[in-house]
Amino acid sequence: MGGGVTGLILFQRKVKAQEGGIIVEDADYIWTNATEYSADLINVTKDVTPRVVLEYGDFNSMLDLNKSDGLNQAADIVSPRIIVEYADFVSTYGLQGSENLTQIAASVKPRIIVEYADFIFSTDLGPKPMEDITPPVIGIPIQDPLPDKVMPYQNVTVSVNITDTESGVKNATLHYNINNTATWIDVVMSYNSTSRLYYAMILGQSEETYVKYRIVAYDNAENMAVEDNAGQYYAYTVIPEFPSSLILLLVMVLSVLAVVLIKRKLPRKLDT
Amino acid sequence: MKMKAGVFLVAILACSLLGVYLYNNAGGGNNKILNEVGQTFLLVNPVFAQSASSETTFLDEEAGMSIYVNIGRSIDLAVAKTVYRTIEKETSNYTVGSIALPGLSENEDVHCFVHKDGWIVTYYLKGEPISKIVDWNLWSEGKLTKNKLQVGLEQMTNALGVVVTSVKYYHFQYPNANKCMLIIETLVTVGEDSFNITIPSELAVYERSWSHYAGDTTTAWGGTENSYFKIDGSIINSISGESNPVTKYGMLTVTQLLPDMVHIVSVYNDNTESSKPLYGVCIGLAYQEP
Repeated sequence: MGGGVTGLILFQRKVKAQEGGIIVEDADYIWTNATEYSADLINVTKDVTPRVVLEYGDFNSMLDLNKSDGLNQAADIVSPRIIVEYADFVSTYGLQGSENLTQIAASVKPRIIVEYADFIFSTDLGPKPMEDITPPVIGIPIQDPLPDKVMPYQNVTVSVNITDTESGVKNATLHYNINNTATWIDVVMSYNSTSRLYYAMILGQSEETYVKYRIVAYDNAENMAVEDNAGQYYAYTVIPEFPSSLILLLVMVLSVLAVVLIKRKLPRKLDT
Repeated sequence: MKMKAGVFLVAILACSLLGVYLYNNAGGGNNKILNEVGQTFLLVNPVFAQSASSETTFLDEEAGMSIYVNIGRSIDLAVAKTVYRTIEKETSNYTVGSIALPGLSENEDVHCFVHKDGWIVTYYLKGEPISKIVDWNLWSEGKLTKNKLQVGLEQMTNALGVVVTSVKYYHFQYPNANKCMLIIETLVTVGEDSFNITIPSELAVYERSWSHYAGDTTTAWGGTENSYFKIDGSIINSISGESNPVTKYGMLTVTQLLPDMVHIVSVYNDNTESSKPLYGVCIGLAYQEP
């Protein structure tokens, strides 16, 4: 192995480690039959910020360092290079040519560090076989009163059919929003075993309030389904308090009262 | 007076009708739907299909490290049965049996669950170490080309005439484990070779297991040689005086592979013969990555 400096690994660290320093690997005098690993020169400290160590790879990309699941590399041959760990600052001045191997990561996920192994097989476990991977099916919500008949401070009931033939429906939530504000209000929907529908109530709102809502359901395998009217949401605007039908009724009542008053006056005239 | 009373009653009736109308439209009748269906809200969990079917219950109780696939079509269970060395269980929906692996003894057989809906799950039993899936016969050119579960699954899919391109792993004993790792060190010369491993304490590790392989631990004139599997210099397993290849496996305790420490895992042999067989060690881990 040559002893040339061809690479650099740089780490940001909040606290300087007690035994931070330079690790030199693969120098000629270290690679003997008796000691292929360089135990004396390996840093051991419990106070290490989890970080990516990328070693022995044929190619190092600086992209996606925070998604470093596949960074475990195993190879017998290692390009000689200096590894600097835990330093507060490293200047690359004079280390030309090593840009490709410079790695900087402020935070990475905790992971197992394996060095000098001949081979690593790493795989995800799960999901569980034969487990449900199909989300629930949410029907079209039915609103009562209808969207154009919601009066001021009138509660609105939304009912919907939700099914999941595999693991079953775990829960359903109606999320509603008032006047396009940033806040969404969650209402857990209740299931009625007779009607086989899920219900939620949106509290009554003042006149001219714009209300939009969507329904989110999960099954017992945590698959999620959303019914939001293809992104448009289901919506209504609270109508004025006295629509024309009510005015008509009031006119009728007033007419009755007028008749009553007239009738009360007529007998007095007859008496005189 | 009669006239007055009559007019008064009419007025009351009109007001009542108006009141009822307003009440219903103002939300006072907001349980309208419920009233119509004649029910009240039942605040209980909905009735749903049970996710724990008898099939998965069987595997929950039986299986450990597994590889699985759904081939996307129904399976003729009669064909599946032809692959088994021993049929272990049969129902109308699925069969379970053991599959012999090439060049390995019966106690290395993998178990295979085949469901008529297309599911094939090849597994080792609950309690058996993950490292058992390493087939040292399949170590070639510096890598493990396949593992035993893959070989067993392949035998089944070949018999069913399907080509599998994507498989998944699962450990029924550790449902919270989302990662599995096998780390291998080999040696074909006399001496010792090792790798370093550091397991951060942030990871929940459910299993630490090992596999130790020695191709030959005898001399040409019948003498005994040794192969050791060591962690931090302590011998965990030794194989000695075996003229045929031997694989041993087992579990490690937490103290043998403590977190937040660099451990040196090594394989050693003192074979001075000119023909150098393979010696190897594998550490198997099942853990939960955050």
